[in-house]
Amino acid sequence: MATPVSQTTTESPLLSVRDLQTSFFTDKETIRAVDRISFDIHRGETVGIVGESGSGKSVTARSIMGLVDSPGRIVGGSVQFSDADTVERLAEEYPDQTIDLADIRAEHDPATLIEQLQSRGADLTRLNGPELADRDPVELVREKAITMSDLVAGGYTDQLGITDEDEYIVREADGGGFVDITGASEAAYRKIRGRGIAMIFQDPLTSLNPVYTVGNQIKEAIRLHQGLQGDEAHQEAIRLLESVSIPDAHRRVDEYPHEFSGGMRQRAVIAMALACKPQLLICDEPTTALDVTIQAQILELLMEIQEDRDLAIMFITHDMGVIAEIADQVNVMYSGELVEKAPVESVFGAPKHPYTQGLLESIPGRHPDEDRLRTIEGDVPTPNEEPTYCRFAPRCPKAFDACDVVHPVNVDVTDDEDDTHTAACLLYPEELSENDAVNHHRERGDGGDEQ
Amino acid sequence: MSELLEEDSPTRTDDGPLVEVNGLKTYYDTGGLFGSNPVKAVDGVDFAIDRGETLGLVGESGSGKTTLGRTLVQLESATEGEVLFDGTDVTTLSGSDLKNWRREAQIVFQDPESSLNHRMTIGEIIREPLDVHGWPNFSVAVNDPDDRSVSVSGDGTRAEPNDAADITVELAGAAPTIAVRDALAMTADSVDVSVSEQSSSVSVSVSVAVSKDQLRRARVRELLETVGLREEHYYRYPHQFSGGQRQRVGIARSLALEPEFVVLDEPVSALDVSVQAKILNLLDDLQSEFGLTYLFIAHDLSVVRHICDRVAVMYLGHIMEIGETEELFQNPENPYTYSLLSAIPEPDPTADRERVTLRGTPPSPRDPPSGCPFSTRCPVKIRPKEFRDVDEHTWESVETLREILREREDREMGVRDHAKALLGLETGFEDFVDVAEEVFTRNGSLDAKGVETAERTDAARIDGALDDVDPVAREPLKEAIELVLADKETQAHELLIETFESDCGEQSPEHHTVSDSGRTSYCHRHRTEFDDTAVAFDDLLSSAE
Ligand code: SF4
Ligand code: SF4
Repeated sequence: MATPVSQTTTESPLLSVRDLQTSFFTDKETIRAVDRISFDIHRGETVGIVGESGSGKSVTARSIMGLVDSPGRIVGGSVQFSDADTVERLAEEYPDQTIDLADIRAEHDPATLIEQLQSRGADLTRLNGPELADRDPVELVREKAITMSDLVAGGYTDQLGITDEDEYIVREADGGGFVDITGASEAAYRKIRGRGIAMIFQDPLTSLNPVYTVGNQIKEAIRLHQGLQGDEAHQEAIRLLESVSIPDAHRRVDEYPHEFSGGMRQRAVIAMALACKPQLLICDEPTTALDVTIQAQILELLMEIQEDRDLAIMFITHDMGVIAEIADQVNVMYSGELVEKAPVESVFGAPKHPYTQGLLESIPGRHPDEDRLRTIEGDVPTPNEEPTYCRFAPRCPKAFDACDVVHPVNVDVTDDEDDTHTAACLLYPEELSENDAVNHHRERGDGGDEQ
Repeated sequence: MSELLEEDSPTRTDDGPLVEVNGLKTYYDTGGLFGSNPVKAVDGVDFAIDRGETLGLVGESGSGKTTLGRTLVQLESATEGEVLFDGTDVTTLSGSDLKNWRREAQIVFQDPESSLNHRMTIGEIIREPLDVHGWPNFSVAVNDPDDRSVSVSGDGTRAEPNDAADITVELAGAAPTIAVRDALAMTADSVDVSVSEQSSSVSVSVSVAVSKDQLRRARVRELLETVGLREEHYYRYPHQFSGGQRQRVGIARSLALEPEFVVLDEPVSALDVSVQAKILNLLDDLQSEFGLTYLFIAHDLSVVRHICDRVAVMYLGHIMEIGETEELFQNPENPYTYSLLSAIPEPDPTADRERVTLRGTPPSPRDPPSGCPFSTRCPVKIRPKEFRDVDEHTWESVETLREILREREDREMGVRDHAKALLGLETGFEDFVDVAEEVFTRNGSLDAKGVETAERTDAARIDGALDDVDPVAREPLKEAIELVLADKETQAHELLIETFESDCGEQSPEHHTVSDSGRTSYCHRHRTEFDDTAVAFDDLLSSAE
């Protein structure tokens, strides 16, 4: 497993997803496939996303990659990608859509801006997470808990007319800054994909063209992203194939995808992704179609690559065993929402959300002396309306009256000081009485900016 | 069952195994290149399945597990060997005998999506086998205290001695008493029987007032309920169903003809874990309700561990190990079982296991290795005495080099290279110094060691690479590399085999009995002169530390 979490959480995240919402519009209904989810990924960290079919995990990945097809589209939220190289490249290409933080700082004082926002009655919950929302923002600015960058990232400078919504590239003089990739055009996305964020899919043939040799496809990526040509590119392609443990790479480089076995194809796709030198690798069920012995090889390979390159990995799977093996942080999705978020040990050792508990209970082998497997009644519902209730309520063994009328928000359920563990369930925070807990959720109810 | 069947199975007993497989081989001779070998999907397996038992069959893709399952229900024909079902060799059945037997042995497929006809309603799908087999055939058993010869006419047919008859007519007493089997949704009132008795014979004429159509519909409704679906699902179409529901339909269909034996081919692999749990519970219920015998094919070992009484582990057409589930999982005796179990990701992030990761992929079943089928990947393959103590890096490199040569030789047979060779063009061995460097250098290439390219002659590069291997192995390896460079790759390969091969690659192992419960394992390590599997893996893992 990769870097210990405590080490990474202090750094600012490489990818920060906030209130991301992606819906699919059909004549009949609007399906809220991803319904306001927030999470972070740090460098060197593997964030697992688990959920059953229809939970929205793949749409989350596709939203980040700008690969959501019609009739779907991102309807809200932001995905901030803080890779200096990407910020620089895009800022150069799209100066009109770039904000220079230095310019804004020269003209405005964040504390004043916050006061203006307050006097307009703006909702400030998106500033640095819910923990700080209840405190006096002016004081927070003085403590540097809220910076100008946060105000820009939260969309507050847009609200005040200082910046424009089209401006999605935010540049910081010291090489910081971020790109809110939900604002990117298709042309801009193409600059982000590959070199910024690469993705591998369950079926490697999605990414491989059957009519070109594997080597030529890798060389093309090398040419585009590293600027190497000819023999240099050829040698680099061989080196990459070797680095993903393809035996006899010298020979294999000239072969076609159909001459590769399933596991070998997935390695080739990983080599192709690495040719682009990505910062974040999104893996969507990359081992689901493979045999366990080959799966073990690929997981081992991903962990090695991560260590070598300090790569951030977002790993999507429905297999709890795989998640336990590879993830540092786990996000559990249910019906479009993120219902639990914690370090991997806590999710497996002390799951809080009844859905996570049920999911783990239904794995064969959890209770070896029981003949029958434990199950969760009913099926995953389609998220086709605004949740004013808990979407898990019809199946939840612990549901009570309030679950049908109050929408749970993610609240802190941390047992262990060092962790951050949240769950979206009205049973928490545990230290409050049931009534107080429900009220807490009601008050905190997200989406104040929706009305 | 027919006359022929009766003759073949005069000794049906209820305590022998239901299914017994002896020396079974299933080869495919599909296309491929000129003069290519057949695919040896199942290459000589023996085992038995007891009545009411669930035997798990696990293995990777290409292991032959699905072909074996399909051969048992005669969806594939065996190349050699026999499959005894209740003592009858079903591989020899054909025509109506085969059709009749098929009622006894059904299969449920992995992908409920593609195994159901999308234009048919759920009701029609489940009903189809009933129509095909003319269910019910109104088989009539006549119990005559005087034991006269019986003939049946009218709607009924005479029941075969071993079958559960649809209608039973009791001749004792003044008027015959009639009973109808539970599976038929009608009462004895709907059956009219007229009996004419002679001194040495009885003829029974049966007329049934309920149509077969009605009975089939009732049967389908009952099946829907049995698998946890609802009556109103009868008129829906598969696409309106979730994956779990579709699998229930597949199960209902397989049960329609009341089989004794069901092959479950990855029945839950395509399902989410919470849905999977429900289907597994259902299968369990159905087994106890109907006394079913299962062959459960799966690649998910935690599922197998949960549901199976015994497990057979397959690799390249062979059963490597077979025995009681818990025992086999807790204490695998065969190196392949050990490796396979080690590869399963455990849903417990605190589990601190030492994992053995297998190298490469299974070889083609068209051209399996000689000796033990696992010998090209086995992490604890037996070594010749003189190399028993060389380090892992050396041994792994030797195996890798052999694999590369083997693969390249295979490719030589390919059309592309064949043509190239005929034209005297390069066949891909001129880069072999690079390959040798890649294989034998321990810490990356000479690049990593900072040696200037210009200073590297081939000989220097080979010596440099071999520097990192154990001195005992250096000479033969050097000789082999030089042979390859001199275009004598066949000799090179032979030299490597001669030097480094052991019984593992030369001789087929035996199925050794390895436990009191009769578990067997196909591996040379069970011979007294070798360390057994657990010891060998312990050594391997401790040397890796
Ligand atoms: S909010 Fe209520 S229904 Fe939802 S998970 Fe919690 S207890 Fe169950
Ligand atoms: S016979 Fe040899 S190669 Fe085969 S499993 Fe046993 S030790 Fe491994």
